Parts: sequence; structure tokens; C-alpha cells
Amino acid sequence: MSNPMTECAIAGIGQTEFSTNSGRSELRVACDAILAALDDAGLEAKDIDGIVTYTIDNNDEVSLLRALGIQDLKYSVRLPMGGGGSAMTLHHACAAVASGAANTVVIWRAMNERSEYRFGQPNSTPSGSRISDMTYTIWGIPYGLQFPGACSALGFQRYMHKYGVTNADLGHIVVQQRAYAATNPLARFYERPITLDDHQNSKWIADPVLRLFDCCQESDGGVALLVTSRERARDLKGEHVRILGSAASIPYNVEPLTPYYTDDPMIMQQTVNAAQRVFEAAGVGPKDIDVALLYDAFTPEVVHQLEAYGFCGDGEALDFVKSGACAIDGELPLNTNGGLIGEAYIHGLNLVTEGVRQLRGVASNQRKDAELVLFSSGNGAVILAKD
Amino acid sequence: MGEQRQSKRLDPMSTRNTDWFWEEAAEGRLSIQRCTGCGHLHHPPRPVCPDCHCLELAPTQMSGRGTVYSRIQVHYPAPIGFDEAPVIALIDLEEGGVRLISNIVDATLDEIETDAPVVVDFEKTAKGKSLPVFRLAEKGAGA
Repeated sequence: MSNPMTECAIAGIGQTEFSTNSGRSELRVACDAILAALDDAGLEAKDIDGIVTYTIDNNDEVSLLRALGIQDLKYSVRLPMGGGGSAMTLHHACAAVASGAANTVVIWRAMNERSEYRFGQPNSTPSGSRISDMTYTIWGIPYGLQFPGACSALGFQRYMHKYGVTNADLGHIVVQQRAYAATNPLARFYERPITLDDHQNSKWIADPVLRLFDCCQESDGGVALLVTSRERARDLKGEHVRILGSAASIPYNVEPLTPYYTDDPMIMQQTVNAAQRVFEAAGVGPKDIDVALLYDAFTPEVVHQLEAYGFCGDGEALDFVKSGACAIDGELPLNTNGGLIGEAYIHGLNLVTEGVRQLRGVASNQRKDAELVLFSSGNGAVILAKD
Repeated sequence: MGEQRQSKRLDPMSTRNTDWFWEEAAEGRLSIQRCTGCGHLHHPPRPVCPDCHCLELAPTQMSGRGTVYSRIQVHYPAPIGFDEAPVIALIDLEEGGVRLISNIVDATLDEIETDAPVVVDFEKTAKGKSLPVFRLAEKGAGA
């Protein structure tokens, strides 16, 4: 008997423009993205009976129902871990559909994190913080560890010491992704490629780990995904993609932003676990993946994921990128929309829309004959397949 | 003791599970939660021992010695509460199994080697709370 968790599909995708100022409310941005996804799939709002998002989104589920005219919600989940949870949304949407708890699940992210507030700026007001449940607000703020980029840098400096790599090595990831963004009209950095020199001349965020160009840029915008059964998706207007495998992992003592408290924080246990489970669920391995979409709020995250998924050995990720492996005709095209760094920071979900486009054959930077795409967000992963 | 220059540091967030940590610091102690049941140290603190579910967790003074696991200097956006870009570090305490976010004070980034020995000192926030910070042991900290 087939595993019902692998019999689900993304039936439609939707998004708004990505900008520094959407000019409208976050609730409106969410509605715009969801309506676009419904249109893509050929579904109506009344068909939606499940919704899934993840922490830090400011939109309230009930407000969203009221705005869209969703009639009777059967399933609603808000997952932990912020952007790290973005791939877990698909795992939970599949669980809802596979179990029969819901038939049509919408996943969304919609924020005005650049125009209404500065998501990546120092956080000095922990009690009123959107992310006050994260321990970094208690233990980091008085010491100056006050924004996500600094948190990423603090852990990764140990990796740089261990493997003898420098910030200049990280630059190869950025140059590749900005080259993809430069030819993607949807990207914030469309027609704005950079060189390694540009990367090295960008200002220090956290010496000696991160420069400005290693960081995604706060973005206004929304993305929505519609998940239903594969069987039903076949009858819908949109060209669906199969969710061939999905996984989630939140290991003991691993927390968002400051995952420093395990014996060896250079092993991203959540990512190792998710990798093992998603490959097992899909029945494929790293060599089968045609395009990798790896959560890249900051370049170090790409390094850890390339290694945890076995695309290269421990300590080898930056040599792997430098070899040209991540170019469109390389061994593993990586973040082909420009990633979160090059396209926009929509907390991971815009990597899923890119994955669907690759499988539909309509991506701006199209991998020839792409059949299997991996999306990883650290705590979760999905493998999407042409169906 | 640390220099008594005018501090601009922010206060730590107050919670029922963590206020004792800063109260210990005010008394000049770097203390970590130790389970009275199984003896394990836990940081960040929690209301229950995750190993034996004992509810009695006692603040226990550490030696104040440790080593540098990693360190960075944060320049931009400028952290709130500092005149100069702070050196932020992860410190492994010598008691084992405890890693703290802290600052290394009175040392440049280049002076701080990975695994360098450090010792605790204390600095005040703008409102007078005490924070454990660290100095390079070789620079005669704590003298």
C-alpha cells in the first residue's frame, strides 16, 4: 500500500510583488497572495478547509478567514521556529490531507517587514517583541546579540576556524545567487549582479563572518501555496507538482537563532534528521536532486545544509560552490531564483514557488529537464517531483 | 573589577525562570542551574530538569573560568547599548556542558584566539543590573 503522505501535491502557487514598500496592509498582502494561488489552481476560497503558517507572521488566522470568505475551517496550524519552519508547513499540510483532516490546505507568509518595521534591525524591546519566545532575547540582547544576522555569525565563526575558511569563501555563494537574481524579473536584485570584489567591499555586519551581501534584505511581500491530494490536483486547472517526500525535525536543545547549546553546534541535528527522513520518504538520494533550494537568510545556512544533505562532505561546501557545481548546468543548481538573498526574504516560501516553476519548466533560470527539487529550511524539507 | 565607566547597556529581559541569574551576578557570582536530583547543569535555565524531571534546580556558583568557543565583532546595524562595536562570544565553562553568550571586554578581535582561556568579570547595565562578561586570562583578568 502506498504511503498517503507521498500522495499529495502543490496544486497552485501565488505571490505578490516583492518590494521595500507594499503600500498596503499585511492582511491585504496575504489575501493577494492567496487569491493568486487560488486562481493558479482553479480553486475558490470556499474550497479552503485548512490553513498552515509559522511563527512571526502577524496575520491572524480568523482575520484571514473573514477577509477571504472561507466558510468552515477544519484544520489550522501555526508552526514554531520562524523561517526554519517554512518547509515544515508542507509536511503538516500533507499530514492534514493524507489523514482526511482537510482537503485543501493553504500555506501563507505575508509581511511588510521592511516598510512597517525593520525585521533585521537590533531588537531592544524584548517584552514587546514579535519573537520574544526565543531565548536570544533574554541571553543575547544585553550583550549586543540583537538581530538574526549576528546570531548566525556567532555560531559559524567556529566552522570557519575548524575548516580554515574565510568570509571571502562565502562570497562565492552570493555571486552565484546574485547572478541568478539578475536574470529573474521577480527578484529584488533583478539586473543587479555582483562580483567577488563587490562582496568583499560590502560593509561588515559581524567581523570576521558576515558582510552586508551575505545577508538577505528585509522585504515586503507575500507567498501562498495550495496543497491537496495528487488525485484531486490532476483534475484542477493548475499544473501541479507532487510532494514526493516531506519531513520535520526539532531536536532536543535546538532553538531558533541561537542553536548553540548542543555538544557540537557544527552538526545541525535538525537538518541531518530532516535530510535522512525526506530522502527515505521520497525513496531518492542526494545524487537524484536536480535543483536544491536551501534556506539562505545568511550564507552560513547554505553551507550547513549542503553538508547535512550529503551534497558534499563536512567542511567541503565552500569548495563545492567554488567549483561551479551550483551553476544552472552544474552538478547541483542552487537557489536558482537568487534565493532569499537575491530574490526576496519571504521567509522561505518563495523558494517553494521557484521549485514549482522549475518543475513546470517556466523558471527564469531553468534547469533543463528538472524532475526532482529539494527545498530545505533547516527544520524541515520537501522533495517536489514532476507528476 | 571592571572599569566603572558610564554604561549604556540594556537590561536583560525579566522572566520568572531567569531573574535569579542576574541576581547572582549582582552578588558577584556566575551561577548556573544545577539539578539537585541528578546533578546535571542546565543552561539556558528551565523550570524542570529535562533529564530527571526534578523540580529543585539550584543556582550553583561556577569557577568563572572558561574558553572561547567562537567570537565575532558586531558592527552594523550598531547594537544598542554600546559606544564601540562589541565583541560577542560563546564561552564554554570549565565545569563542562555549559555554553554562554557573553562579551569579551578589553580585547580586540584579533587578540582573541579560539579556545583561549577567559575568566569572568561583571559589568553594569545603564540601570544598574549586573552582567557576567569575560576577559582574556592572559591579560591578568580579575586582578
